[in-house]
Amino acid sequence: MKTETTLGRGPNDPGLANPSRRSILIGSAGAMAAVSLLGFSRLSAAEEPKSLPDYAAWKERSALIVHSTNTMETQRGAIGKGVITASDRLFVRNNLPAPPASVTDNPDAWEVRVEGVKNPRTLTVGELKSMGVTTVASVLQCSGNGRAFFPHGASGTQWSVGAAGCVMWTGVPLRDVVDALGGAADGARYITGTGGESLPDGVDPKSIMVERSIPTRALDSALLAWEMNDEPLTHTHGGPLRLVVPGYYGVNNVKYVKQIALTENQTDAKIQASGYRVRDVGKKGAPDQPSMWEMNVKSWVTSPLESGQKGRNMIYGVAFGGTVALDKVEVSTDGGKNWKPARFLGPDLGPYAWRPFVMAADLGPGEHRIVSRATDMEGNSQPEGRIDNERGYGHNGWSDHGVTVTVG
Amino acid sequence: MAAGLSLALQTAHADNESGREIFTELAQPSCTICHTLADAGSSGTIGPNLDELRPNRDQVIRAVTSGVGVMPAFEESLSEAQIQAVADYVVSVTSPK
Repeated sequence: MKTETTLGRGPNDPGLANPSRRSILIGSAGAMAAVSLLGFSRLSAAEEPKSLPDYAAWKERSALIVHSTNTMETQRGAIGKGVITASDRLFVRNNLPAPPASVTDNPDAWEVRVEGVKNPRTLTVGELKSMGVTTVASVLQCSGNGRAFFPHGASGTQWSVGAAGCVMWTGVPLRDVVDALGGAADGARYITGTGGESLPDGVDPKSIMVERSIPTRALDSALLAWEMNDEPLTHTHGGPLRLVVPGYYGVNNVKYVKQIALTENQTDAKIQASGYRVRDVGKKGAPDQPSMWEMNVKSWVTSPLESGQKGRNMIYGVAFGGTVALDKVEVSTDGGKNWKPARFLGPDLGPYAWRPFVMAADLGPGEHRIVSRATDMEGNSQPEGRIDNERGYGHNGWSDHGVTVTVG
Repeated sequence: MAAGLSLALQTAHADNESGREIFTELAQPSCTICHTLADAGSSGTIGPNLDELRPNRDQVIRAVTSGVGVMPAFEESLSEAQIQAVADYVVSVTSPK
């Protein structure tokens, strides 16, 4: 593994003395290689040093695993102990090539069409900014985060745990926009957002366009966001305007959003009709299968990842409940035989944010299987195993997400 | 023996040719619209750059047969033999020399 041997500093890295971070990053790269050796992902691709694509060149390369031009995940050890994920470490997953950077040159001029309301209109971002504003901390997570742990070789990017981050979104509550345009049209059951990517000729637009429908219950939390972590939303992450649906899987957070429609039915675009559907291995996607909407309760350890010290160790991780606030996180250092409560670290930024956690543990010499298990306020808890499904979606089993730490 | 080997090489060559044809012409929509593959002269950017991804045979067969992400399934428009041929072609032109 040569990819991660140097640790560059991104613009958001204060450069504080942290001798362990370098080894953590190298360790997690090694862990990915180990996963590859088990056949979960292709080793040769993981080994290949890749530079960041132009549209994401500003990101912190050493904090990311670059799977492809459109898919980059955060190194497991690069998630810190503060609540908010630095923008330059946040994962990237684009379903289509990003538009040119010039799309964010004049963000206030970007237009979004709003349909399915009493008074349909086209609004600019500049107009949206005077209609209302809110800021929300929310976990953004790809539906396939954890896909690498599925043994059946699910197609798609072999994400480990890094297709997730917790960021601050600022924008107008979608409900404010709908209310300003006279309210929802009769019979509206879904919010359908359409991305502004340009599509190539020769392909049925419906087959590749990013157009997602989510239930109108999300009107309570959805926003049209123009800032992420206090900076104008970059085109890397969907700027100038992104539909953000707190607690919902990443795909529903439509980038470069150019139309919002309140609709009676879900869109028939492939990404909705048969994509992002949970079904048994070997089955085709279909509209009657569960869609990847609300995220489930999940957690994972972020440190230590490979080696610990004899005696007292601080075990860190992150946990979240999707749309439901977290109740507790427990940690086991013996593979799930005995559990102890972990302590939440840092401020509670609301139900959609994740909670960093910490637990002190005395470790003796040898190997320790460290696992974490989160429970939300409704009593939903991470299962031990995985629920096998064709595309490797929604994995929150605590066993696969554990780490084996050696104490010398 | 020599004749057999020569025949096998010819067959492999023929498969590669037809794999290329499937990639550039027969598959609809054409693989070239979405994928970059130097050997096929394509520079699509919708799907992964295959020169970089260097997928293995099973990955190509699975993706072409069932689709993946926004990629459509081709199992109804291409035969199993054609899917295998295009997989062999992609692997052969992206494997390290």
